[in-house]
Amino acid sequence: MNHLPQTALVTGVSRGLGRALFVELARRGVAVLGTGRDGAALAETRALAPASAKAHVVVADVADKTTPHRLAALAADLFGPVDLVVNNAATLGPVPLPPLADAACEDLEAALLVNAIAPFRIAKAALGGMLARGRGTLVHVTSDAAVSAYPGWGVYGASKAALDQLARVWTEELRDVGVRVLAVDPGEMDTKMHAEAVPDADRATLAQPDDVARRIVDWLARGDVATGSRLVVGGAEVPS
Amino acid sequence: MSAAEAGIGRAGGLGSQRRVRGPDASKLLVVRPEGPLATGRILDLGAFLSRGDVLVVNDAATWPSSFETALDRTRVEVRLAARRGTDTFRAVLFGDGDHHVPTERRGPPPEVTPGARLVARGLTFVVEAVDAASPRLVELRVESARPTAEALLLAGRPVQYAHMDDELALWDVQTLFASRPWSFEMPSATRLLSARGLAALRGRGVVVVPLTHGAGLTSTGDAALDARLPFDEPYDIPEATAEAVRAARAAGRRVVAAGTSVVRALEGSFAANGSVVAGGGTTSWLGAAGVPLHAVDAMLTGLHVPGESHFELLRAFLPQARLDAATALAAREGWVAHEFGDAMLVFRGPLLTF
Repeated sequence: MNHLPQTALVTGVSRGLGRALFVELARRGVAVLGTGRDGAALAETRALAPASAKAHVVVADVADKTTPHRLAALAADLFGPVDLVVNNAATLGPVPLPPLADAACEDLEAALLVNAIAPFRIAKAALGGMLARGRGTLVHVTSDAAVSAYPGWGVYGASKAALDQLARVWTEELRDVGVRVLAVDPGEMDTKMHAEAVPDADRATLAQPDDVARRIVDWLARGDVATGSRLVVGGAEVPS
Repeated sequence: MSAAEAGIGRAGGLGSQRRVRGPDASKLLVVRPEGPLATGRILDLGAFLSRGDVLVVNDAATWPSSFETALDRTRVEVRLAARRGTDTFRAVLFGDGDHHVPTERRGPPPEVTPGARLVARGLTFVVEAVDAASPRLVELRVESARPTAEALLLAGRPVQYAHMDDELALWDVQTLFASRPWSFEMPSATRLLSARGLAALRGRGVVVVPLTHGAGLTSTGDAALDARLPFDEPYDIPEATAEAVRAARAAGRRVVAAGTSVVRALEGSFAANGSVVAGGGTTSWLGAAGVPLHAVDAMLTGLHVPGESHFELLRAFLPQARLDAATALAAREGWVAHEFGDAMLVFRGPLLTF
């Protein structure tokens, strides 16, 4: 049984997991609006999805405060009100990953803006239609770095932890209005972001974004995932 | 809005809000056909309704409907008023001056003819037709490399209000429920509901359901053109909302409209179908004294000033004397009218029966 939504908004689809999610959702018949900052890369992402799919890409910077309402309105105009948000766009922060004592406070501010505040704004902008109809799903991509303390991962980890905590409170606040809040930890993938973070990793041990995206969309397509659940790809699902 | 703009800040004795403020700050004036007026705050709304009453909101998102364009070297402001098709719009042209100047004191725009090109950032509005009676009222087609909605969302700015000091950003003019971009001005009554307010209503058993209504401009600064407002407007009522309205009727509960746009949609649906039914349509329903209400028992609205079309619609609910008493109290107590201002809940006479 397919419990996928009608219209999805996915951020950060220029490459990596975001691109793979955009393509997988489109292949499964979900209308999807994807965003990113790299116009040429976005065009390639769109070309990977079926030509006849309801799938559109738009250049946008999630850090811009005007972006969230523009995206929600555009998705609604093209395809219908958004009923799935995937907050995937993220910044690693400065690379090579610095110890906190070497990280500038501006780096932390920038990471919090892109990784926590932008998803918060986007959730708010898309929430309207969901509240009106009493259904919808908010998904954010998170990381083990938000949970465990890895030296060098303080800026990124703190910003993802903030995102996780916002999601936990959203979960409780939206529990009675039919909106699900879900977290996805995709694990270590063979992406540009991973290469920047861990340049000397053995790439053969890393998961492929396409496989991870398929796993995530399978999870979303199930009818029994409760709000507050966290999918750890490659690990066990943590129910709410 | 022109009556209020004529005396910025105080018209009909009512002030206007100069700064953006959150919805929960609004006061609420409750006006029944008889008995004393009641006052409270917008978060008290549920106390004046009954369990099982249905509040219908407008979930339209607001376009950034104002565009700075150039006709050759002349600056022209385009304000979109209605959508005709995917790429075509009805619009009103504004000339010299900006939003700080009340609309009726703006200079006239240059005359345009079909084929004229109004160039904006990333798109061009091509004039397809000019209204015979009002040369400022035009039909435009959007030309852009991007899909029309994308181009408009990028280039446009929200319509600004002369009574405000703050410059409104796109997020300032969206309601809690905003989703489909159908509205050219903010659905200001729906904007009175915060998430906290919605939870309070639901806690009291009030059923809150949406419809989408494409509310257009409410003032153009041209008296002759304003007299033709509101234009016919599109609406769409979801199944669940039509069912909620039907169930409320059957149970003897009230249907409360959040704003004049919702009243127009519900009354329009009733007029077209003999009852409120699911589906889309276009409403030409206009409220005024003596016009019967078939679908709506009460309306949540902002405070309006005599002479405005919103005020005329109020007279379909209540006699002039009641409205005058309400306006007088609001003015005495220093309440504020218009967007981001205070609110009124008006009840019509006895509950409808079939």
